Amino acid sequence: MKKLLSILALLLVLGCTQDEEFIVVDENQEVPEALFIEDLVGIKLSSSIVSDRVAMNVKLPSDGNYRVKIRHSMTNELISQEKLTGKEGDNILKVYVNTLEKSSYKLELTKENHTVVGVTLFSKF
Amino acid sequence: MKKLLFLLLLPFGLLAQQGYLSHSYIDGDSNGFVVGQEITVKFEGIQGSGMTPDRVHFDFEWNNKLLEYVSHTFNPTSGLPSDAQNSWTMWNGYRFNPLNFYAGVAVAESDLDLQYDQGWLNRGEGSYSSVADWSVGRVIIQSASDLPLSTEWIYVKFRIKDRQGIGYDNYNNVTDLNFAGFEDISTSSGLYDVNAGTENISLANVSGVNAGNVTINLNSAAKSQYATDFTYAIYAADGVNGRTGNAIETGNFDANGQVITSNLIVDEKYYVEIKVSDQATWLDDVLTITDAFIIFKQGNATGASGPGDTTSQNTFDYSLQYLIGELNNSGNITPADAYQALGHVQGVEGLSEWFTNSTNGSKNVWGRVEQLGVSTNDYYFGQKYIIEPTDAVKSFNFGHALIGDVDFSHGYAPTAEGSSFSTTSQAQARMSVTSRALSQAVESNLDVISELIDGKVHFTINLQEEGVVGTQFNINYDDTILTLDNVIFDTGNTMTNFANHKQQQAKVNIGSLDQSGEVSIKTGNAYKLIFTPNETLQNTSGLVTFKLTEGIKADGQKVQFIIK
Repeated sequence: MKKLLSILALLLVLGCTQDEEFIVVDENQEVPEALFIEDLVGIKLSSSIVSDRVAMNVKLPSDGNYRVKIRHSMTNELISQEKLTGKEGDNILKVYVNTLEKSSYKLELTKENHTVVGVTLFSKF
Repeated sequence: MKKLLFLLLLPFGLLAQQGYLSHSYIDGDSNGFVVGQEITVKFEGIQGSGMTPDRVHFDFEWNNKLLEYVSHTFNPTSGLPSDAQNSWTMWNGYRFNPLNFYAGVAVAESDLDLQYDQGWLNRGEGSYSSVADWSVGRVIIQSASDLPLSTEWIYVKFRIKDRQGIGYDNYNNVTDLNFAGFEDISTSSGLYDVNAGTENISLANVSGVNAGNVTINLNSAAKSQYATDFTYAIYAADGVNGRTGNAIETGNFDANGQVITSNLIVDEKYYVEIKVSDQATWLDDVLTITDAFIIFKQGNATGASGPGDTTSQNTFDYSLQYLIGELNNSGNITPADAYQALGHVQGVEGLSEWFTNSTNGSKNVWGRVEQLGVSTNDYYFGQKYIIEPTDAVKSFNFGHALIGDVDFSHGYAPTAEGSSFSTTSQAQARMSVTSRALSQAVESNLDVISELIDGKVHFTINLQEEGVVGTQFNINYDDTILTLDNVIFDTGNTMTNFANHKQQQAKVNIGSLDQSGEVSIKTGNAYKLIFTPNETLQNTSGLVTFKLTEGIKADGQKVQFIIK
C-alpha cells in the first residue's frame, strides 16, 4: 500500500512539473530537445535571443569544477563569470541576462584552469 | 619681300598708332567680390590720335568656368549715334590663338588690329581652337557717323562662378581681348592701329568660394570605441576665438573620428565645437581610480620643505591637467578636487557639477592640436577653436579631453610644443605620477567569480598583483533575483576601502585607495559581495556582472587587470 501511495505521489509531482523547468538532472532525466548536445562535452542555450533568462545545458565529461563565462562578442571582454560544480553529463541550468546591455555575447564553458571546452553565442534584446 | 616691306613700314605703323580698345568692370571692388555676384564689363574705344571709326568689330573671350554670361546691352549710356547698328554673337567652347609672329617679327597679343587682320581675318584655319573652358563674344557696331570714343559701347554682364573643384585657384585673367578692326568706312581709312587698353580682367578678393571637402580630424583615446558619440557644430567665427550666430552645420563624427564637410567657404574663419554626447553610456567610466590618485597627488602637493611648506608643487606633466583636474571649479587643484574624484569613483551622489559623469554630462575641452595645452592671451589653455580653410589647407586636427580625465584615458594628451612640463630639465629629472599613468599599463591576473555557497551568491575578487595601492570595481547585479547582504574586505588592516551601493540602480562600486601610496592592498580574496536570492537557484551565470576594473600602483603605474 505504501509503495502504491509513493508511486501515486511521484506521478502527482511529475504531473505538476513543467516540461521546460528541469532543474535536477539525473541519468534518466530527459533533456529538452532544444538543449540536446550530441557530443560528450559542450554548452548550449535553448534560445540564442534572450531578454531575461534562458535555459542552458552544460554537458560535462566528468564531475568537477568548471567555469561559465560571459564575454562581449566583439571585444572578448569578460563581463561575468560563474564557478560551478557540475556532474558528468547534462546539467540543465540558467543564464540570467537582466544586467547585460543589449548586445551580442559569447558564452564559454571552461575547465577550472580556463581551458575552453565549449562555446556558444547569444544576443540580448 | 613681304618681310622687308613689313620691316620698312613698321616704324610708320608705330607712328600711326591711333587708338585703343579697352574693357573693365564698372562695379565697386573696395570690398572685393562674392561668388554669385554679377559684374558688368564695359567696352569702349579710347582715342590715341586722330581715330574716327564708324565701324568697329572686336572679339573677346571669357573663362566660362569662372564667369557665367548673363546678358549684354548695347549703347547703355545712349552715347552712340541714333543710327548705330550693332551685332552680338557668342560661341561656347572656343579660344583665340593669338598670332605670335608675322613676317618673322614677334607680334604682341595687345596689337589688336594686327591680330584682327593677320591673326584672324587672313589667317585661315587656326585662329580659334576648341577649348571647353572659354567662350567668345563678337561685337560689331557701325554707323553713318563717327562712333564716339571714351563712351560705353556695350555692357556685358557676367555672374562670378565658384571656382572650387574645377582646376582654378584664382580669378586672374578671366577675360581677354582677342582682336579689333576699327575703320572709318566713309573715308576708306583702312584699319586703325588699335592696341589693347586693358587686355585682361582679373578679379581679386573673390569671397564665397566653396572650400570643397574640409576634414576635421578628432584626436582622442575614446574615439577607438566611441567615435560616433562625439558631436560637432560649426559656427561663423567672431573675433580671435569666438563664434557668432547659429550653427552652420552640426552632426556626429564618423566611425573613424572624422567630419568631412563641403559647406564651408575658402578663406573664411569658423569656430568648431566638439563635444561628447551627454547620452553616451560611458561617461561614468571616464574618471577612474587612476585619475583620483593623480588629482590627489597634485591636490595635496606641498613645498619642498615638507608639510609646513605650503608652496604649491607641480606633480602634473601637462598644464592642461590643471584645467582637466579642476573638478569643483574653484580655480585651483586642491584636496577638494581629490574628494570629488574619489567620491565619483565610490559612486557618491551630490558631487560637483563641473566634471564629466552621467549626471553632469560631458564637460569638454578641445582645440587645435598645434595649440592645445599652450595658453596664450587668446587661447585659454590653448583651446584654439578656429579653422580657416584655404586652397592649400583643408584638413584640421583637433584634440579633445574631458574634465576629470587627467590620465587622458578617454582624451588626447597634448603634443603641442610647450604643452608638456616634461620638456623642462626639472621635470625630466623625475618620472611623474602622470607620465607613469600614461605609460603602458602593467598587466595583472585577476580572478573574479560568482558561485553558489549554501544557497547564497558569493561574488569574489581575487587580487594577485603585489604593490597595488588603488583599485576600482564597478559591479552590477540582477536585483530582480538578488539582494545585497554584505560586503567583506580583506585588503589589509590599514587600507582605506570603499563600497557604495546604489540600490535603485543595482550597482555596487567597491575598491580601495591608499592616498599616500605607501600601503599596498593585500593580495588574495580582497573583496567579497554576498547576495541572497529570492528564488531557488541552481547556478549564478549572469547574475553579477562587472563593467570597470582598474588598479594603480604607488608610482602611478596603471594596472590593467586581466580577467581570464
